[in-house]
Amino acid sequence: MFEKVLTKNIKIPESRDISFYQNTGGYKAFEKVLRNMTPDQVIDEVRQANLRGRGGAGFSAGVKWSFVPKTNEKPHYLLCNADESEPGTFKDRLLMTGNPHLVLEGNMIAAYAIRAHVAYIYIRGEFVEEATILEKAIAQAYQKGFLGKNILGSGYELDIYVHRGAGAYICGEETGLIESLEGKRGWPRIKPPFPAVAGVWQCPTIVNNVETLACVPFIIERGASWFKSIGPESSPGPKLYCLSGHVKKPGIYELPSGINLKELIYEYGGGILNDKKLKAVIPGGSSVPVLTADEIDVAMDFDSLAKAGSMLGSAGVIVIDEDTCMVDALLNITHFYRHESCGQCTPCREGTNWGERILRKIEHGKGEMKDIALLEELARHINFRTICPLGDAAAMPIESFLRKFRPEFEAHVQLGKCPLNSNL
Amino acid sequence: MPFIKIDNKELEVEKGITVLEAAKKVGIEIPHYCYHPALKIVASCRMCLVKVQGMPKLVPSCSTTVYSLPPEKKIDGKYDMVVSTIDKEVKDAQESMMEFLLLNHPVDCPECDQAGECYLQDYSYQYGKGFSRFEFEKRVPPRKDLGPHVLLIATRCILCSRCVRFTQEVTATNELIVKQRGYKSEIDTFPGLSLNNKLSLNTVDICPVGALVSKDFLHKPRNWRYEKVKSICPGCSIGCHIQIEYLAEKNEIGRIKPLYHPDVNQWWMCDDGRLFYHEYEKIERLQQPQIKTDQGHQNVNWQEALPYALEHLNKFSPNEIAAVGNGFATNEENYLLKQIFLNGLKAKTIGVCDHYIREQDVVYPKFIIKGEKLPNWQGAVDVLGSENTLSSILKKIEKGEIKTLYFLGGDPRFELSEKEVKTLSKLEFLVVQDIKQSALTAISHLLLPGSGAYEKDGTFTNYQGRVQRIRAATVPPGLARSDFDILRELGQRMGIKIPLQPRGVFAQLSAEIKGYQGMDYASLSDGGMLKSEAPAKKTKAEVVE
Repeated sequence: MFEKVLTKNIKIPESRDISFYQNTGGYKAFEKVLRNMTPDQVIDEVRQANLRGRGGAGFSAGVKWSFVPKTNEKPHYLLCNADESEPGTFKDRLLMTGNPHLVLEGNMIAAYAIRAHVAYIYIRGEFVEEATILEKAIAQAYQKGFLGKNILGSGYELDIYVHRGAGAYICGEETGLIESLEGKRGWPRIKPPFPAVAGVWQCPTIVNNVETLACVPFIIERGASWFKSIGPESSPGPKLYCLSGHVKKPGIYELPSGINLKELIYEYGGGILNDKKLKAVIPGGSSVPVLTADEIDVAMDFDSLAKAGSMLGSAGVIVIDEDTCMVDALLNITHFYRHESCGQCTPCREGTNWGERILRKIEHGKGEMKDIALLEELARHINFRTICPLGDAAAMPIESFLRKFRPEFEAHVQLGKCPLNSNL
Repeated sequence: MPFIKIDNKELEVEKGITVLEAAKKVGIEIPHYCYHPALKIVASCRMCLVKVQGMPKLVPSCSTTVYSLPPEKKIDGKYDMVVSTIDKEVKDAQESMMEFLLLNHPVDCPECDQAGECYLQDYSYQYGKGFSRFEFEKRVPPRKDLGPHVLLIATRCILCSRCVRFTQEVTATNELIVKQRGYKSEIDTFPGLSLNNKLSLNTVDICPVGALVSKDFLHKPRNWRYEKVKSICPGCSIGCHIQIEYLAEKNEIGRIKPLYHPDVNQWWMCDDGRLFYHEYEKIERLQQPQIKTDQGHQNVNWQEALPYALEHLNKFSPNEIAAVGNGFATNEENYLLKQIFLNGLKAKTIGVCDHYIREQDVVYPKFIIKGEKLPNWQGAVDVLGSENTLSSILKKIEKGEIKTLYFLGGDPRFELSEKEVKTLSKLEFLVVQDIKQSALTAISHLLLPGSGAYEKDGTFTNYQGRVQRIRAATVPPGLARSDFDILRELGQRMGIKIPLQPRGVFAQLSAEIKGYQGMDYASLSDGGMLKSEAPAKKTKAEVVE
């Protein structure tokens, strides 16, 4: 039987309080690290656990940490990416509201591992309540001596700050986040150099997602082998799935990595809202390629979804029923990326705007067949040619919607109107 | 050193150089907009994408550096890197980038100052489609007055951010920003600021399109109509390398742009220097020789004026004669002055005019504007020595020791105080060879209309001691002549043999003046030469050409 760890106590109102957290075993892992482990041992343990980044890219956290120089010629920084903005994704928010000390403990252990003495939690501007909760939790942690100078007599020193963003999706991209934290426009940087070498203020920096860091205390406490025993070996561990769209029981589900998507929707989510037929599922946040109803018998882990032609991304599962116009859905997605494009590089800045306008034209019944071909070409011209993955994020839905639901687009052109949205 | 292949060209280059720069070395131009060698690399225009064998996707050549591979991993057994700038995928990317950049562009080339030297035009021809598939209304951001010299025609902007980076990195004045986001992004000034730093017009030079335009050049004749000549800016003692663009038929300068010189001005020049040619429009130019008579100044021709000068100068004993050279005169001109007075007239007193504008240097992180507002102070001192100056000569005039003075001018902003004019009016014979009507010309006995800095050929020596060639663009107005010609004819009339061209005079000068030994026009070339680098080998002075 799978035991929930990340969200175990999340419904208990006191779960935000440090004494509750400590009474349920909290901060033991951090203590263990401070007393018994060297930074390299921590990195090793996390690497052994094969904890893969929960923000979407799925890069091994332990390997990432090991890129940080072993010497402290410059200060090192840990940045916790709490800029959760991908449509369909709302898991980090829950962790921060329901289990803030777990998030903090993850930060503390990671900071210790990479020899950082300052950590920033870069939180999405709209998360006002979450920021307040974190601030309170941080104050409690200082009070109890888990933060500040000479933590628990170990000589280790750490400060954690909450930094609120101003509401931009692009600041969730790690180098955009770094620029924003430095007080500049959230324009992603060209890589290399990677943040582990030259990140915030050109110092070695690790950027980790909230959920990624929340897994760390359990890895330390229970060991890498426990973590690896959950889900597939290639991407193990407990995982939060965000279920939204036309599903009876939307919400956040903590389940083993690699849960079957169909099972997630029908067993846990209770099936399609109003018992309609399923048309499509976007399995990992709005940017990943869409799956048709026939393609959902797939394990929700990085490799299985890649094999199925999509991505796990942020595990934001968006369920789409038969009455949804896919042109409209794509228009909505493309509108989002047009609005959030930072404007730095040409293909994304110009392409997302052009794409949205073509889609609007088609959805409103004014489209021509050449527009569909143009849209397809457009996606190809954006994909893999931008500085950061936002371009790819805008292009992948266009490409996959056109490939899998082309007849719907053609029907719009042929009918001169949207077959489903009669009020347009 | 890595051995790489770019298209069909093989080359050995140092590790760490960018692919774009490596390609340049073998004559392959990779199209680019945001990349500028002086500025931080941002790789945002995506125009320079190339294919590098082994990389999963196209990479920007401006930010991708050349690396070396271990022997066993070399491509085809010998290459460290194999790059294609002509691959089908690259061509596709280039064409699509052009399409993206032109989606909202107004294509108003017929009224755009940049037309003819515009990278959007050039790359459109080379890499573009030739037509647009964009059917929607174009974005029309408003044009903005960014500062005293620069206008932004935002519809033409491609957001390469070169101008923004310039104000961040070169001047650190940070007047320019990108505001808004995504396709609404626009260049603008930071709230409350104006693009009023002293290097602001360089942003117009580095703008690859017609978005930033110079108010000074706005709606002037098309840029290809101008004759172009390489010269040195006379605005201060830096001696920035410039290109003067002028209309020969109108004898009029259209604009001045900096030319790259690694050790003098890099890519830049200051706005004051760039607009310095207007100083000559503000003054009333002397156009004809004049002799002072009881009825006031009378126009004469050169055949009368020069003998008149000699006739009167010869009346004085050598001790009573003085001449003043100028930091606005070329080395050759000052040298001729010296020949005439020290050798010809055996005069004892020759000096330099020390009345010129001196300000504080203006220091930017990557450029310093010199406060000495004259181009050839160093050269004038080298040639004429620093023993005497106009100030010291004025004292001698006051004491009655000096009775006649030959003043060589050229500074459009030259001013004298009332007291100094009063002193000079004690002279029995004052020859003024200058360019503008002034209190000085009013008291002169003989007036010889000379040339402005853009009308001269010769050399200036900058504050570093770098001897640099200047070249004439326009010709002096009316009967005015180049200072070189005036002095040469004066010398010839005294029986001194003088080469026809500044080149020949420079050969004589370099044989004689310390620090210039071994220099000639060929070795100065376009870049000039530091005195400390002079070959010192005595070249035989050229005789009359």
